Amino acid sequence: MYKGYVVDGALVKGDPHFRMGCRLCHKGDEKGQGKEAAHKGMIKRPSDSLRTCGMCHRQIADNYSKSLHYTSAGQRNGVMPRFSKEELKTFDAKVFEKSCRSCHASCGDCHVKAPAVGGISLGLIQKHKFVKKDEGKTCAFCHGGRVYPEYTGEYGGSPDVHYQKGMTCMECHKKAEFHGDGTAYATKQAVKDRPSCGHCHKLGQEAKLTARISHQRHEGKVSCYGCHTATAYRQCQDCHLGKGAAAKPALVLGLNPRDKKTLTTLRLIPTVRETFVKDGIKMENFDALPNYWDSPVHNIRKRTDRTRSCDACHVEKAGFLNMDNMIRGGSKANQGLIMTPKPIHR
Amino acid sequence: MRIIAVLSSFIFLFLLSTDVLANASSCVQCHTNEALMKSLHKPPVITGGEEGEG
Repeated sequence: MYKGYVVDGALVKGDPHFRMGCRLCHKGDEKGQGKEAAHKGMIKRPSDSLRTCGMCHRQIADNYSKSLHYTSAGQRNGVMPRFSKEELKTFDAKVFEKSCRSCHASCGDCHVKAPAVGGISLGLIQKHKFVKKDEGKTCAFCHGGRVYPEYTGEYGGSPDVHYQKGMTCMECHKKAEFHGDGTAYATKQAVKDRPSCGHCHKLGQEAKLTARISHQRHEGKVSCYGCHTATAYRQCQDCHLGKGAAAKPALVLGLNPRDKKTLTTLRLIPTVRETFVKDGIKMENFDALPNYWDSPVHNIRKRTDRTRSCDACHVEKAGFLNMDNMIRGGSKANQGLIMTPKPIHR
Repeated sequence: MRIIAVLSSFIFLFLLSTDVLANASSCVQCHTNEALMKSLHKPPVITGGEEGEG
């Protein structure tokens, strides 16, 4: 879109980022006559190198160099246990650096120009203004396959109640989560001060007695998502088969693979046995990890089928992972996530 | 000589701190002209992402 290249003239006069000219970040030849001459040696995405923004924002750039949005380490560490030592070396060279790492966000992706996903971008967020945030044009694009459309209700069903109340991503996800705090975390689960329902919704302060009792009974056994995820959410059914993706909606409840004792919402992340075969990786330890992972589904409602009736889980077992609805040919570890709710003695 | 060098540095820094350099830029002349940008722009070839990307 041509608007991706239109800069606001007033900004150039007033914003300190422009005081030292375009060349400071973009290089090229400001005195060049004509497009070709002016663009010679130009850097299209200056913040791909953190040194560019780090000239002035050193601390932030230093921290960001270790943040998960930059390192993409979560993707590597998430699949790593499936590989032998030799396979991991191949994965790092052939897959991680060339594919996964290409997804890392630069400073500009969030603060200047909406990231391009599948070749489509909204272009400059506000005519090259350096914005603090604009989640609908930035987060929404990279996280537009699952999280953001679930949050806004674009997939049908209900939008997240927080979205309806006017909350956007950064109401819960704080700045430090993105910029990092200087620690190179291995996974997002390890990041300090992640959003938690309990930050706002304190147990014991529920308005209704039934809600208070229900929370007491299930505390430590069921995640908030387990009951308050409103509708079916996107399951990446065939996305990693290399034959085109076909996502399907479903609610999947099972044990959290990270602790094996908390019931939570699971999402199918179908790294199948053949996923990396074309790169020479058989995944010798494929069955070390399940195909379903705990997922903080972003379509929360106060009232859902499971909060209205105990029978939804304890009698009907709606959405519970079992041998019949499990992905075919998946990891043997999937079976360890099956949880059968106990009957209620009335 | 040293005084001249110091003065030159101050003048250079002054220029940097104003919009003089930015205004002189051909980048600014073209990229603030919406009609020109529209006329020059060639839409990219979309190779296509897959469903569920991201």
